[in-house]
Amino acid sequence: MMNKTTGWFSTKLVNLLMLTTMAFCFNVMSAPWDDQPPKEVEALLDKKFAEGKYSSKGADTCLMCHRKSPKVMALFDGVHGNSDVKGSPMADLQCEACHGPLGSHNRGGKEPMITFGSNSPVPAEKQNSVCMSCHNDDERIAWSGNHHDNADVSCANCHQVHTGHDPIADRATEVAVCTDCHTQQKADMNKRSSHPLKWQQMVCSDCHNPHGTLADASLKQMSVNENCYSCHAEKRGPKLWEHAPVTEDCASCHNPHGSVNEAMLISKPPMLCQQCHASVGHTSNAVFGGNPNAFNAGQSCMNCHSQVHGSNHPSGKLLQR
Amino acid sequence: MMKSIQFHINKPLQLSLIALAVSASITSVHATGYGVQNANRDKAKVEKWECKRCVTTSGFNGSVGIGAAYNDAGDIHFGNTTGTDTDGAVGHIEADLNYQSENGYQTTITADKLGYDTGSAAIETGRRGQYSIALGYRGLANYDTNAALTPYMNSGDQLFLPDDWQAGATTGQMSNLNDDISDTALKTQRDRFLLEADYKGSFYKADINYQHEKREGKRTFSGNLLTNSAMLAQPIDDTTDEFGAKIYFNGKGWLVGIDSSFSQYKNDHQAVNWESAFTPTFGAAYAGQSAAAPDNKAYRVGANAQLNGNGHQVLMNLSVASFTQDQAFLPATINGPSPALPTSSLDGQVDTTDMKLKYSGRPLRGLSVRARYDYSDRDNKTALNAYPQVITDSYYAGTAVNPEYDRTKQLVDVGAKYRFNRSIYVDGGYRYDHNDYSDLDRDSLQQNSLYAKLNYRISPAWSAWLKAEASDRTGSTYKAVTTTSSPSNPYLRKSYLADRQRQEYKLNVAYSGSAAFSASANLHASYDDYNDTEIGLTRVDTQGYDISANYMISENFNLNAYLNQDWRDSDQAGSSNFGLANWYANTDEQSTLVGAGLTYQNLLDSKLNLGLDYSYADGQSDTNVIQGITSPYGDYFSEKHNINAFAKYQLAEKMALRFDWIFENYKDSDWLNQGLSVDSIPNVLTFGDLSHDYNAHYFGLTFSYQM
Repeated sequence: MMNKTTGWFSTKLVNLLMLTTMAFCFNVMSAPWDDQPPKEVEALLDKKFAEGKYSSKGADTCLMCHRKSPKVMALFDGVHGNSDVKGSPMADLQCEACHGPLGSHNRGGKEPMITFGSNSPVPAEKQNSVCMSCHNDDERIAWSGNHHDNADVSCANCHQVHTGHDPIADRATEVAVCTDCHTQQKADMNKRSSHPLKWQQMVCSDCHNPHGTLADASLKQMSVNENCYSCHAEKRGPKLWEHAPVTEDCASCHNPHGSVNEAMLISKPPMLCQQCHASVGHTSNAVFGGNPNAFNAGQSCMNCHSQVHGSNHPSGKLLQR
Repeated sequence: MMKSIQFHINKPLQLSLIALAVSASITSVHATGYGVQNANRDKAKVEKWECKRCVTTSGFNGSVGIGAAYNDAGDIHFGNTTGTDTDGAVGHIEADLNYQSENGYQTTITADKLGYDTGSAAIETGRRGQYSIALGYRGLANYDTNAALTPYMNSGDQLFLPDDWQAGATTGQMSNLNDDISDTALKTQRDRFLLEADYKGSFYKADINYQHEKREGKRTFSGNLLTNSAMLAQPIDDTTDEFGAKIYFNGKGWLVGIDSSFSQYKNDHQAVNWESAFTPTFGAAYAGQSAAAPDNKAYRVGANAQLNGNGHQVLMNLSVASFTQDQAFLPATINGPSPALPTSSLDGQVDTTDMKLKYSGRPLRGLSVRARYDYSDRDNKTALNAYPQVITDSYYAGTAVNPEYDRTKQLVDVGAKYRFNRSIYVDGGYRYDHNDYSDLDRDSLQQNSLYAKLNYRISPAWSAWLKAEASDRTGSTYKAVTTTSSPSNPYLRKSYLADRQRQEYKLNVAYSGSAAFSASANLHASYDDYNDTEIGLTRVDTQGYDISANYMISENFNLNAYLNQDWRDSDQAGSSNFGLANWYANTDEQSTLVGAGLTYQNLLDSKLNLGLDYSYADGQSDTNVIQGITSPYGDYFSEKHNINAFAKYQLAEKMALRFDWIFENYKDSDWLNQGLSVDSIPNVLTFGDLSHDYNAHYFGLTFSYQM
């Protein structure tokens, strides 16, 4: 098995392949109950769960047949397979903590067990109820009804449990996993200016909590601006002369995922500035291209008004100082 | 500390009862799932389970590596890809070591690209599931250019000119300019140090963390005196310290906790002082002074509570924050006696209050509902005073009072999701945003939004969804503020306050029918119509699509490819005669991303792994300004080809050698500086042409040893 430390730049490729391979193994590994209508499988699983016919020997019963699977045995590389870890399923109902009571599954292996992933007959919400029964903590306090929950994303769509190293928890692979669905953000982070996501200096979870938050867009901070200030504290102020749209929302002018414009701006100055400024004087004039001048070249409007994020200079009302 | 928590031992019981009461007071709903708490344990004889076949891993495992590379940093912009701007040889260390004791203690040591500007390292130790302590370092770097041309040098807060500098009324008259300019690098380096500890008890979890960040580098600034300006490389030397602590308690049906944080920003620079490169005209100054970002502090404390039961969930948050700043003011002017200031520092304080309430539940099988109310208030408590305005350090223009920009935002969002069957569900909702402002051109803004999604799993192999959203933003009477130094055009509607009708559509189709092949396609479009705007932004339309596919030829051989394209067109109108529109600007942007990659594992008797990734990204923006005649702007584009390849060969059982190759071909242009020399504009001393055009390679060799 490839080790993640064998390199860095392309390690993400290998890890992504591993993730894909695992996902495929997970999803495609045929189960004897695949031919049964999923609704019937789910009803049977409900019945089994309510009956609670657990095995006589726990994991030892399961491993009688499943120990030959490297995927199954990889569980013991991580916390979920370590009975010494407090709260681990292996310290409680073992395999059946997640896969449900054995019932008659060991008699020919045809009776379904709870399985995980997008091809499982178990709906995402029910799959997730297994994980959330242990992981409902401060990081996942807002899971219910969040964007991923609503879109039927199951925990197993992103996470691996049968491993010592969950690929999504690795910064080298995280962005690739997220942008598999969030394709507009993938396009944005490859544009001329963007936060450094392409080479994983930053990752999506630096700003967002994929398990949901009480803020818009599952941002980790209370507001867009506080999220930005957590790295750009120099813009936090309060300053004497604030620029109203800056205090209102950094996204008034910037697209944080990336833009064809410099500085992740949604539009280029002077046009960007003239979307709000049309006073008597120079801001009202059409700025033509062609011959370079103080309005259409250099820093454009910022040649003079360079303190667009606010100024703390007593005479800085015009954001020139 | 943990002992004191024992006092809360009765709290869980109380909260459990509250949770029970909340859930019981609401009609019983469809609570479904297989959570361990709901397991029927009557027949589980767990005490007899021995787990003889379970495998316990203990001891050291992982690997350490050391590498050397050649990096081509003729243009430091390539450093954004490689993580270093060192031109030539560069070395690094990497590690992923894990020590696990038989009784659950674990220590991990990781290092990635350590030695590069974007390297990282961490050590974490503890007992999994109980406590951990972590110490970490992370570097972040941004490389803009190493070819900004400037005659200025800097020392501390001072930007000064060479001794032989010849000032001129225009840049063309600065006779020594071309001799005195030199290349300056605009780049930023952040070094972050992190300390974190957490402890998990039977019904509580506590976490504290501290982060120190030091930032160094240079950024573009402009020094402006009357109608003259010079682009300056402003030095960056600052630190940010952040401290956070939280504690959460949980029990059956409830989870409550307190989060708190403190952040302090300190800037080594109090000002940007610069000598004027221009000969003073009309009594202008020989030197200028601007404010640097002031030191500031931010405090936040918040309480969260989640109550669950019978498939209902209520989530509550109340948090307060305070942002303060007390940096000593600079004088209103450094050229002659400064008018008296009303106060020696701002003593600024902005307090915010946030309250959030969220409900989710499942009243019927297949139906889930959700509701949310947010309240957010920004209260600027800073004293309002009249400050003398010495414009660009040159002439007095009366006084001005600082604005408050208070704001109260409220949001209501109600939604429902109904699943007709396993294949189809619809999700929809309504959202109302209400904002009240002070000191802006509108006292309030409201937005009504409707959104819907149809999800259809056509077959086990095919699935699709369609999303649509429509919103209408309007507000109180638009009345331009009168505190501006010159009045605004009465027909102007500032884009962030203007009436706006927005439509958004997204369509996704995905195929995952075979083990080997999967693919997906997306289409998206949005239309913003600023329907009440005569002057300002009038329209923004975006469209785009993407397709991607993954083909696993064999267990060891994988191929993937993707293509994204998007467009953004915007129109705006202006008036040079303070009336209705007499000029128009339209900007059309487009961008493309296309790429493909392959990985081939276990070649040459399972000793060789290969990977190759290629991507091409471009973007351009075409701007036309029309006032009788059409005036197109110059080129604005970027194009980037990337090849990222590796080969890893297993030399022996525990030793491996890896070769990395990164190639980048990058070219861009920006009409703001395309073809410019430092003296192209008579009254603006620029950095010159900042375009990039390079081919750069990175070759790396890494030796790793498996523990």
